[in-house]
Amino acid sequence: MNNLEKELKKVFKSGLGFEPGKDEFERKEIGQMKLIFERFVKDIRQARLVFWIFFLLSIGMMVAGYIGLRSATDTRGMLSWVLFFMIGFNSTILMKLWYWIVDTKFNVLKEMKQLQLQIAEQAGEKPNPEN
Amino acid sequence: MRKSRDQIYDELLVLKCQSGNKAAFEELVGRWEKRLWHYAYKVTGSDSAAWDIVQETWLAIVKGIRKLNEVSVFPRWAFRILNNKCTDWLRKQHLQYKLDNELSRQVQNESNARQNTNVKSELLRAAVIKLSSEQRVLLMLRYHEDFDIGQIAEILGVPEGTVKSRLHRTLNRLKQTVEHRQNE
Repeated sequence: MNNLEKELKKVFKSGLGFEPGKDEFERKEIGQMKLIFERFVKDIRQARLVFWIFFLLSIGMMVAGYIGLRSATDTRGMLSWVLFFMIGFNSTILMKLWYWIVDTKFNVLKEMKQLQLQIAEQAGEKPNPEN
Repeated sequence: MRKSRDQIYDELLVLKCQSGNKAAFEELVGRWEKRLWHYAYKVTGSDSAAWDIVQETWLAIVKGIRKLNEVSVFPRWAFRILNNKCTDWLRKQHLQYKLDNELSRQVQNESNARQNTNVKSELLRAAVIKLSSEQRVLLMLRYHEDFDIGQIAEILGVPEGTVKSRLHRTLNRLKQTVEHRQNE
């Protein structure tokens, strides 16, 4: 890195011009963050809602399939209702399996990051005070 | 390249956010808010625009964070969103000349207020402000945010060769401007 580049780094680190005061920054930050956190929570709720809607639909298909099977009189009708029941049943299994895979993936990745973090800390790295 | 403790911690926070942890998201926002705001402010030159852009950026991050496959790309991804929002804002406003004037005025005010500043740094600072927003963005990503050429290319959506040549041109221009001013 040449002198110009070193000087540029210094210029950027010291700020190019006007910077808001700490209090002003924090006041505006708090107001803005509220909206963003609300959106984050809403997004999670929506994802959960979609999961439950699909789950209940699958249960509904199973129940309808079972009732249909009990009331069917011919073989073709019985087979159709069994198929209907099986689709609902498999959907619930696939959803649980998918949830388990995603959950396990996140847990493993989080554990790995925790380990990396511990290694970095033991190597003597300290958190950046700016963060 | 070995990752720093802070990089690993950010990745852990992103992972927790992806699994729906609100506290982790709050912490991630706390760690990145100021950095993103400073970038937006230095590109737009407007305090209120910087806040609006940062807010839009966070909303886009909330929307897309769960689809982020590789958590280590979070900084580049966040800056790419932020940079696009800043570019949109500049395009909408057509305020490039006003922005330069405003930033120059602010720098002038601050320069006057500083007693013990290095003359070369001041010349450099003034020269940076005079650059186009595209060139200033490039320098900020390289020397303030410490992204490498490949990462900058990803953020700006241009080939690495283009970033290298633009950076080279910008540095040459800065060097010439500073030397010219020093000789005056």
